[in-house]
Amino acid sequence: MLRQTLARFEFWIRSLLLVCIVVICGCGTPATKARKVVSGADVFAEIVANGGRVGIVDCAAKAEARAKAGDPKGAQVDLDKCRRVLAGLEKGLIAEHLASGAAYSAIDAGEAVEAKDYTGAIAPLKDAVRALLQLAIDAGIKIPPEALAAAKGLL
Amino acid sequence: MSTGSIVEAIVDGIAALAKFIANLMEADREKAIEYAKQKHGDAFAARLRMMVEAELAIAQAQAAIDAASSPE
Repeated sequence: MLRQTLARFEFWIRSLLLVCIVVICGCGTPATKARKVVSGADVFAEIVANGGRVGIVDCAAKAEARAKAGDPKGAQVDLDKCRRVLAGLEKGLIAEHLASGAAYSAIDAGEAVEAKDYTGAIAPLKDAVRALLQLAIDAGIKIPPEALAAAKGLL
Repeated sequence: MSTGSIVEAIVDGIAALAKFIANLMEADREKAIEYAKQKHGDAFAARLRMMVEAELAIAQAQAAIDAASSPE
């Protein structure tokens, strides 16, 4: 119970942080702006990971309760759904993390040659965030609306 | 090499790396998390650990289902 409350609290702090990053996204040089997008994407991934963990643990608990209530077949179907969400989420989080690392490197390289446009550097990361966002929405992962709006602002 | 093809190559590379780490996670989660911690930092390892917690909850539910399915 305490853990859930703390997790929720953490959730909101992260959402607030994401909103702040998006709000200040418009300031700075093109490279700084691009880096803020990367930071925002990382915070969003953290929010999705946290929400996903809570959602999947909840989903598994419901399947377990259903099995104990005498409906193992139905419970298995429910649990397979939880598994699919987990598998997708893992891949989505890994892809976002790798894309964020690649984006940082690409921004550094762009800065070295004084590039004006960083769209290409953050494009794969935006794709990864888009995929993660869609996955979270499809899986019904509870994400604060502010964080969702902020994530859409990043894209 | 055009900018478009560079971006495509990055996306392909990321997909390949994602598959690699996902396979590691399937083979041995603890080792994969340790690898993630060393190579990618604590924040990423913490995200993977959250997924392991979810996996444990799934394993527990599967045990309950198996127990409920098995004949008395």
